[in-house]
Amino acid sequence: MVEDEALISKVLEGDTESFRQLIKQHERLVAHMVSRIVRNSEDREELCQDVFLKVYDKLKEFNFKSKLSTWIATIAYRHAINHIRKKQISFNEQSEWEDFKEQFIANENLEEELADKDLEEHVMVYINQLPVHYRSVLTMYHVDGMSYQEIGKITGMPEGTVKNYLFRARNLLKEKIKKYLGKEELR
Amino acid sequence: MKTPDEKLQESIEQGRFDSSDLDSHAYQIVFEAIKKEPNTHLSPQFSDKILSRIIKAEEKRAFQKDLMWLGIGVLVLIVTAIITIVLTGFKLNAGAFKFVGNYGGLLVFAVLLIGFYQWVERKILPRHSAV
Repeated sequence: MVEDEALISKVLEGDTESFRQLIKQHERLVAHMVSRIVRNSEDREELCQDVFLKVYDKLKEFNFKSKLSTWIATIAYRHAINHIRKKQISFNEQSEWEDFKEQFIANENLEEELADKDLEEHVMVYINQLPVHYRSVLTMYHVDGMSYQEIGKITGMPEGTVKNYLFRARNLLKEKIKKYLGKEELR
Repeated sequence: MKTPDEKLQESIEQGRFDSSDLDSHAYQIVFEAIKKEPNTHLSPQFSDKILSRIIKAEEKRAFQKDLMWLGIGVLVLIVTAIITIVLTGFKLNAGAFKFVGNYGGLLVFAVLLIGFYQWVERKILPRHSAV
């Protein structure tokens, strides 16, 4: 926190090298957030740049009530969500969950494409097929090591919803892998 | 009340799994894979690109600020001129330049000549002065 304060005050004084340091410290986090939400890889880098431009513009408003990383992740999450909203990409909201679950487990198109890949790669591809909120919550919890509280703050979801999304996402991936393992045994 | 699946997820998260059980084994694979970073390739010049966009944005902002002050200046000048004209009853008098009205052709020629000199200066002189 003290390091963040020192870094922010240097950036606010106009020290661009300090801002470069801030970018280096948080670029992976921002890239994770954006890449889990936005599937089109061509848009991702520009979106990540936009996030840091917003961070630069709003840095004087940062009030140290949360960690700098949580604040930056919130900006990244909202920016990426707004991007897919603008592009009118389907959200697969909770009400559609049951339909989605059935389709997801039944869908065998991916299996043929993944025939020569290992199981971990299967899971990575399956994660990308999950609805946006599920895959972003999974990444924040398992890759970025965030707490339920932090994820709730970033996404605006209650902690209970975050836990529920995590449970459902892992359950769905398990069902998919189980189905795949069952098939492998039959071969 | 937790479901058996929730309990299973908790125990896998704590590192306890039973590979003879298909659910447990499938969860083990899932938990290993979801820890992996997603494919997030950023170019090596990522921070440079952001900093150059910031500099450009600041230059644009500074230019817009200058433009705003120029606009305010021109507006104040016009308002002041109007107030002055109204208060002093000033009337425009061409005075000594009235005679120009009789020599319109000469005026046009003078403007064209000055324009030609300017053109010559821009096009020809730099070539000769260059080392």
